[in-house]
Amino acid sequence: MRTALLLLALCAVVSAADPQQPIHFSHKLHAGDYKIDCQFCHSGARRSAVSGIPSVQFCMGCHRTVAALKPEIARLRSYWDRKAPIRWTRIVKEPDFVFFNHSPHILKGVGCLECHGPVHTMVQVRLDHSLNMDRCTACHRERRAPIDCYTCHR
Amino acid sequence: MNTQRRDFLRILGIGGAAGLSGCSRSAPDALVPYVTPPEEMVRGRALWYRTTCRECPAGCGVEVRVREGRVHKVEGNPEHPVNGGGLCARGQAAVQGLYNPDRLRTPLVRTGGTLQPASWEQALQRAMAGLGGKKTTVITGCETGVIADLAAALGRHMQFEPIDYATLREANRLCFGIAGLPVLRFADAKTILLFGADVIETCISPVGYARGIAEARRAGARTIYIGPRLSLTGARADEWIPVPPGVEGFVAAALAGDALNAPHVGAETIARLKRELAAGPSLAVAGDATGLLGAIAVNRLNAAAGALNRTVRFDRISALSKLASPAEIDSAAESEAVVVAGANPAYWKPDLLHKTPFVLALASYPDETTNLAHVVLPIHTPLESWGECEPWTGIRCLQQPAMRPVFGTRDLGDVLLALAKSKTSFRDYLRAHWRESEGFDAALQRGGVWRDAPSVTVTLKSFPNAPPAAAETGPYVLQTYPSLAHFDGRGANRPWLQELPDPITQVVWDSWLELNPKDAAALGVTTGDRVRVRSSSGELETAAYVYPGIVPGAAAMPLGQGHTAFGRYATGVGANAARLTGGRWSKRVEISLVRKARDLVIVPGHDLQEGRGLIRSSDQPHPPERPQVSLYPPHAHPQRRWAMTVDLDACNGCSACVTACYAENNIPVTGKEQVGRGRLMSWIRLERFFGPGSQISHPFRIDFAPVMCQQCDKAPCEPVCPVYASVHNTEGINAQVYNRCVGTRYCANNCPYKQRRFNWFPAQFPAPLDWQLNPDVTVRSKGVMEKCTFCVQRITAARDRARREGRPMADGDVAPACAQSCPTAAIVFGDGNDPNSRVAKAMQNPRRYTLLEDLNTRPAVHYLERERRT
Repeated sequence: MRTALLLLALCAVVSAADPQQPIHFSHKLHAGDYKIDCQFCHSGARRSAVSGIPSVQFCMGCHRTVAALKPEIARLRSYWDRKAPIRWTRIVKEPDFVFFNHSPHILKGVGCLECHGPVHTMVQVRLDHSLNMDRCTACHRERRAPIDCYTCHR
Repeated sequence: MNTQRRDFLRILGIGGAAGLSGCSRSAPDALVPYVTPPEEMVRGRALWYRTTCRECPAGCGVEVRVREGRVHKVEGNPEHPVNGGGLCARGQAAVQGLYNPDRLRTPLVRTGGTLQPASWEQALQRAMAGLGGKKTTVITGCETGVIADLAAALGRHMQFEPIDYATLREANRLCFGIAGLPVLRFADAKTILLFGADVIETCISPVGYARGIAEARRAGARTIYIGPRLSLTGARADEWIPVPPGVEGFVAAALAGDALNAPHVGAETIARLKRELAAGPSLAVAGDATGLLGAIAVNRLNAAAGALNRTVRFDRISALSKLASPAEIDSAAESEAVVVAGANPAYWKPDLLHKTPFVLALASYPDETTNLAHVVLPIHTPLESWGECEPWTGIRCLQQPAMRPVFGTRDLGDVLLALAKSKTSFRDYLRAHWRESEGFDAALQRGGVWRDAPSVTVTLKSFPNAPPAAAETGPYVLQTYPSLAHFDGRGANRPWLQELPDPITQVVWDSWLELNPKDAAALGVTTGDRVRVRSSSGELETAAYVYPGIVPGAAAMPLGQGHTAFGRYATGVGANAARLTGGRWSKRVEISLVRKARDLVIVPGHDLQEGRGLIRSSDQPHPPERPQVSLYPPHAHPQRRWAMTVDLDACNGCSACVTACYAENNIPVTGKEQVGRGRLMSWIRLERFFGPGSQISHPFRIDFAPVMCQQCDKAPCEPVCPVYASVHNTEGINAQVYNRCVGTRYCANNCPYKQRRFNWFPAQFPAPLDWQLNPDVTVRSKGVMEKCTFCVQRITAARDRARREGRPMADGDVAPACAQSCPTAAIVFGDGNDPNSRVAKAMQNPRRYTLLEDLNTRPAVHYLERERRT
């Protein structure tokens, strides 16, 4: 019975973490195979609290010419032609009372993968591990970063 | 199989979390990036736009903070010559005008007696048909430049401001030949005499004047207030000379040497003040309620004391000098068509537009005037608009939209151009008419262009005596005054301003009638009772407030409440005092008790300091110092300890900090009933007392200080929290961790400063007021304790900025919202550990003390005792 209950609980977690995206965008292809830097698209990470999701215009910057005939790119172009935004499914979500800021982490040389996992190997991004406070404070302790409550909560 | 209790709980925990993740309260889990992002925007970083505050005619420069295309906060423009970085409570509340849930969203056209929604095309067509070829009057508020030109192109243009300073302008015309309001250079005066002039609250340019007075006081100036009622400006003065209404002018005449003595004022006082005036540069200011004779007497005093052309200068003239006279406004009723743009004359003169065949209202909110209109066109609020204003000659301020319109409204300028059948956009029109040496874009970045003013010298003229005022009957003289929060009534639909306790009476969400205790006893009235006030112009019922700071025989009432149609926050709140006076300042009235009641919601529980030395002044003995011993070592603050000083000699009690804190920290408004139960949520309160001892002081005085969380080193709130939600952080702030808080309220019960606030209910921000919420601050949920954080989000932002720029944090990098908004820079914030910081230097001031020192809490907020100069 114990195992059954555990399995049930795990199923719930995994199903929530295996999302469907409106466009079959592959991080493995972009970040893994072609080795495009994360911050090429997520350019806010260095400058601001949020890393940012690239705009449709930004995607079209390359895909006007690159792989323009592939079906998923055609789908992207249809958004661009309609001037419609893409509703991506959110993978990483922090609670309302947490104020994570990308910029100091990037400036201190914390790599994107340390929190986000091996995104460059994933075709569809998912989060394999929990981003709970324990994980944050463990790393902060290790690197002698502040563990003051007000660092993240306010 | 045997399941242990602990295993069961663990599994339940996992399953529960997974189950709950699906029913989270937050927005749908989608990330929706832009199709084409705005060029200058970085998500998560604020953009600032400079524009001009239009919440009153003062024309202060503001900077508007915009995040992801939404306006969140308005702050003073530090480069602006009018306000120099400070901003009052009404200016802070401009965002609640922008996001007001009652805003007009579509044009309205009167069909079959009621206003019905219509399309812009239909409504414009109706408006043009209604105006076509008719004798039209255009009523606007105080407007200069292109808006005034466009209004004049439509018909006869009249600038209507209820607070019109008509008496002062007339007195200046008679005395100096200029019917204008001059520049008052408070900073250059050693003796400042205020004859019923409430320059700190609402008079002409309150933020600029407050700044000037603070500067003068730092140089040792003394302020004397002469008037029947101790207003906030009076409470701030070193001396109050109470005189019955209408006697102010006699005091001025006696000081000027035009009369030998003044009634109700001792000869020795007059002699003493005369000596003081002779000693150094002075400045005398008359309030509009002083009357024409009083204003003339004050002008003569300025000339006699050498203040004319020195501290009173006609180099620049206020834009208010061009307002229409009351008689001109009344003549608007004879027009065939009236266009009302950004004004609400029907609230002041309910009969003015009743018989006008066609009324077109250009307004942002439904109000008394739109109720009478035949066509209503919704216009942008100032934060969405282009525009310009010239509050003083040569100071041309520009207005630019800080965000896209919230609703389907249009720019006032665009509508006026459309009515004039022009196809130009107002922005292009404004740009084309910008004929200054400095380019339009450069001026936009700065907030405007300020030209030097040529020096103007005026001389005092001799003139025939002004006619005496007509005699009236009635035992009491009622004086009305523009309310600090609502001004002439235009601020009444902002919930922050309704919930802002009046600094003197501490009343919220109401109007009141101030009565002297002697008169109140004679009438059998106590505070909170309902009284009826009757004059020859009208009558009303309101609550009584027994106020020792008003002379016997006088009564006073704030203006701005008692709206009949001004949205959910203003309609039906209090009574409209303008009904009693017919738009003038004072009137003889009869007062009678209607019934005993407890109608007023008054925030503090006690009016006296009981000798505890809470708010100290130089003329009061200090309570004896006690040795501060502790068994425990103080907290280590290895890097820095944030500290704050509040200079009570600079604090005016204007409450700008209170409203700024609401805006910055997502503080909810709870409403009259909840405030009455002690559930006001403000993180700063303006503590005010009627006496340092156990009796109401005689002569009467008021002491006040803003009180926020004192961020104690030995904080009583911390050890009582069972869940470590209240913790001392490494930089000396008592952190309140909302996600840990379980709402025991032990901390609030143990806080001797009573500066912790509990969320009894979910915070209400009716759409689109929620657009104002600061994305850097949590919106606290029900059952959570909250309090001042020293604006930790600003500290964090400043730290990140310093890190990005590769430098250590410098003094002055962080200004909490309260310190930033303060018109007089009374609040200084910084690192108390750094001996070179401004705050550490202020802490060395011999006037320094801390609140409730004997409790040994060792606060990080220090007060500098107020100087009362004799």
